[in-house]
Amino acid sequence: MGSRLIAAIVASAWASPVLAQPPPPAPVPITAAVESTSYPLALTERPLLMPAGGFELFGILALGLQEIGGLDGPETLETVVMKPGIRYGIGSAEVAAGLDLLVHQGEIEGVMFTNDDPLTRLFAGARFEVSPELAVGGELAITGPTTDFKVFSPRATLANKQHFGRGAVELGVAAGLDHRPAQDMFELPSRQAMVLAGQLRVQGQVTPVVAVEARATMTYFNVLDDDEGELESSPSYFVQQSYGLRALGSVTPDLDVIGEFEVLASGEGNYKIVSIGVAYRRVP
Amino acid sequence: MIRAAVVLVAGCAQSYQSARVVAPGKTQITGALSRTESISEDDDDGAIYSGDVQVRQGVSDRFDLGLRLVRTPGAGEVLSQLGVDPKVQITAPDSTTTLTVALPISVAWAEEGDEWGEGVLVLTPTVFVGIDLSPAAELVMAPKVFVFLPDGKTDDSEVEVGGSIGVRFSDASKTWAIQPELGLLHISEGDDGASFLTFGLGVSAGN
Repeated sequence: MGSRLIAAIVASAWASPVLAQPPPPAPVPITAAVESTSYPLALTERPLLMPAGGFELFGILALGLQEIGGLDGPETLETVVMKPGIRYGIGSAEVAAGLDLLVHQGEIEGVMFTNDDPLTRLFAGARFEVSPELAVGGELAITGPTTDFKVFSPRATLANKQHFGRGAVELGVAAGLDHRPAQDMFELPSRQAMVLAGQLRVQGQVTPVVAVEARATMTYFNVLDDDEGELESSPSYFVQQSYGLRALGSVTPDLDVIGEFEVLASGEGNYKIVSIGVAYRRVP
Repeated sequence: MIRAAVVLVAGCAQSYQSARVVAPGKTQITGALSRTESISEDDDDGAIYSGDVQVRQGVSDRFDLGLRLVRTPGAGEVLSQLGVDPKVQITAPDSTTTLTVALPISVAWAEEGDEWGEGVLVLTPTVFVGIDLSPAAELVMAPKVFVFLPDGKTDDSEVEVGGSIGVRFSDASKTWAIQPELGLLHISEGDDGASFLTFGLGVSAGN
């Protein structure tokens, strides 16, 4: 009797028109509705590296505001720098290059700026995918490449990105040297500093197309040739940190609009940078 | 001295966290940038910025533990605060109004290159009140008392008051949040003391 009742209930259930209806739709990922390529629209879902064959062109216009002591007390020095660059995916690796172009250098009475060359920095690097969340690489930056005081900055890099739904955390580490060659004209010895840097990026995808990111960067400099005479009054090591907030709007799957506010120094010598930019990419 | 005290207090006056504790086994990482400026007439020094990094780990339904570092930017004189931040939720986990108490214990110090100043122990008893404005927004109020114990000597201790108010925007997944915040501080140093207003934005992500 009991088994017949159970069989009847089961048979009734299978015959139920409710079960005959299609199942409710599965939850739709945040990017699926508007994404036209395999590259995620949401910043928090993007991989560390560009996919193979894909490229990204970006340009950042940065307005720097730095308080400097002039003849009439502290004044604000305005600097405008254009930062174009490119990223390109090759297999499981990515190569990148960029440069900084000085567009405008403000003037302060009593303070002389010797660098009239617009090219202020060159950068090139490559990263290799160890796993989808981990990449290692190397890069070389040259600051003041056309001046007598150029600084070569080779780095080994490591980056990790953890995705948490609509949040993500990126942790980057870089280690290397800053090397400035000797300058005979000014009788300056060469200068080397060991550099270790860490960077944390915390990202929140506020809407499907708008993400907000907080960034903290901390860099440790150990001056290796402190006993050469030039740096007698300098510390043997120091730590430099900067913080920033960034908003990224994905106008289309191929185009981002970026706004950023960054603080490099506080208190005396307040140094802030306000940036806007765009990034255009094509991913096969 | 008062400027240094402001920076130290500005760092821990801001909260950048929910009144709720992080769920057990979950981890939350927060980055934030704050700007502090005097609102006293006789203090026209410029604004002070500070960066803030927090990691919080949920331990139980009503207890989480945080690790927090606050530092001013730049490569010259830098002021820092590093501490642990235990938090206990008084109300039930599913309540729409949350009451939580916290007792951050931290060390604050100044450094310039390889010269380090002596550390100051800072206790910051805090009460968090969280009100759910909607499923995606929580009003977070956090009045605080700051107890400074220079060199560990209680006879030189200072007590200041302050607090923060902000709205934490997130969603049901709690995998992200942004939290704009206002903070008000009062420093009793000097004849009349001084008051400072801080504004900042925190961004959180976690599992």
